[in-house]
Amino acid sequence: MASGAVALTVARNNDLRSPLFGVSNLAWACFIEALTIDDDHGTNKGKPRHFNARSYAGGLGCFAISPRRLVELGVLKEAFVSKGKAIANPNDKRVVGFLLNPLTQRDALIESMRRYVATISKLTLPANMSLSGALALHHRLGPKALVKWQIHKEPSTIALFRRANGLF
Amino acid sequence: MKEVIGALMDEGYSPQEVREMVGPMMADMDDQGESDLGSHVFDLVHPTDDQEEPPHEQARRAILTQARDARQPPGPQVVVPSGVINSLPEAQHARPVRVDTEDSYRAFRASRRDLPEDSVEELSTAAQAELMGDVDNGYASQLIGNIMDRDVASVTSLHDNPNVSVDQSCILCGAHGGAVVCDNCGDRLPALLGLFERGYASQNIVGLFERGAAASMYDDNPSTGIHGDDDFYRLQRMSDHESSVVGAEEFYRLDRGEYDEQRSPLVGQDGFYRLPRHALDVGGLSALIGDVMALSVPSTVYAEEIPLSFRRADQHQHITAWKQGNHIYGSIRVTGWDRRPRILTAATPYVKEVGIVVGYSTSASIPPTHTLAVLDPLARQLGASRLLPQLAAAAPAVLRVAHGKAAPLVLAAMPAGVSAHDAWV
Repeated sequence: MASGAVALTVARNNDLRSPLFGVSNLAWACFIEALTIDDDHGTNKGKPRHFNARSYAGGLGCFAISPRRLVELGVLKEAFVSKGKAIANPNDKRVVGFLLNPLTQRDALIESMRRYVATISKLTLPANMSLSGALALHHRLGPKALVKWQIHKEPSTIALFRRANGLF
Repeated sequence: MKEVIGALMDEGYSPQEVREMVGPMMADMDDQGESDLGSHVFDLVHPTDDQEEPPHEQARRAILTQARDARQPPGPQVVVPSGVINSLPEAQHARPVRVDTEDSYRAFRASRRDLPEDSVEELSTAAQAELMGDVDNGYASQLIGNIMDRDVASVTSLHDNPNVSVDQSCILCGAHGGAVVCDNCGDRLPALLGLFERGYASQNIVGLFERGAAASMYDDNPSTGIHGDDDFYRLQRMSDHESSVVGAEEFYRLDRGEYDEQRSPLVGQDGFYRLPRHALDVGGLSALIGDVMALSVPSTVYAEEIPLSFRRADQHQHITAWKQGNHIYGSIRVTGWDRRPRILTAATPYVKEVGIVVGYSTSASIPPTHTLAVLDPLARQLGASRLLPQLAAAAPAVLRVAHGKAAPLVLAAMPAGVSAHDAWV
């Protein structure tokens, strides 16, 4: 039983490895956990989302990644705008496959964070905003998150920022 | 003339009066007829003492008997097969004739040429029905029952596949019953997956796949070589027209055999695995061909071994598991029917195993982040751990099916209790 258990431990550590330079594995794990908390009004408020969840704003998966962002990442081919929200076709096999594959969601999140880090590095963050907080805002509000954040008063976004800010 | 005389006698005319009436008619008859009639009339007129019966009564009876023999028999002529005498409404008025076979029919026909054609036609139809098994004929239904009583091969085999011998076994379960597919298998096993085996001495390519696994692998992999770190599953490049050696160790040398599209799939008798049969329509056949090709077309994706633990230290020498591309593979080495090693390989989609682990974690209310930390290794190990016992359980059935066969086998295996339709989900 030894070889299997050792392999499991090693793999577990590797899966929690931070993809960002200078960010510890523990901080990264906490950041990911902060992104999975469901802040929408419902029975699951305050609890981690399921892997096949769809947020009120149209986000897909446990990390509630926006369909427009998934199109930019190449996971989806198209996203529709309805009532000011970007939504994905629920019958699209790519959407279904994305919701059924947590590892794909994880990889999409990692790639999204890497791209946002490259963008944020060129910006000047406001006071009392760390990289994790900025990444969380960009994850929720998109590329122009810092501009929107000045006027954004959504409680769910505020709750997300408070959980993620200061981790790294 | 005799009838006339008899009729006159019945009317009560005396012999003298009959002679007076018949006399003029005799003038027109020849000598023999006159002689016969005269002697007959003489007998009637001069009865002898030794006649117990009155002469007119004797003559009357004689004349009537001859007339009866010359006329057609009364009532319809119905031929009733043997053993079924009173089954037809006409039988009560008919004279049943026992006719069992074509030979007896011919003999009867030869002996009764005086029968009308319609009665003969009925008999001919019945005889033909006996030979052809036409169930639409009322006589034939009785005759078929007679056939069954004589322990001939089943009517089903005669109707569906007359070339099937009594030793024919069901291609799905192996039960002997004279049918290509027995009734139980025909009802329980509607679909077929793919089962392959890779072996050294065998020219077969056999492997055990979940539906779509091998086909997807074939679609994902270009025709270039794949090489793993472990010699056990090292695959070299194989082309369509030549076979190549697989691996450094001789016992798992893989040779690609000829795949016969017309060969029927075979299934073992292991009750744990109900081996369904797939209708080889256009789509199904192409999928099966894809499964066969999948094993012969290596992949460029790096193969990562899945470490497993065994109770016995030497078991790892005969078992291996790895992840390659989007699938998890497991192989076991067994002894074949010819005492040579055989390698049985199974595969399962990696996504499916991930979904199983996610289901477990969701049921246990485990946070997604904790699941993500162990999702990949758990999916690999649980997938391989689930695959190898199934493969081991299918090994006896596979070896039994592959006994003495050199051609590629395309089979399938599913745990008992799972229908072919549910297996695709």
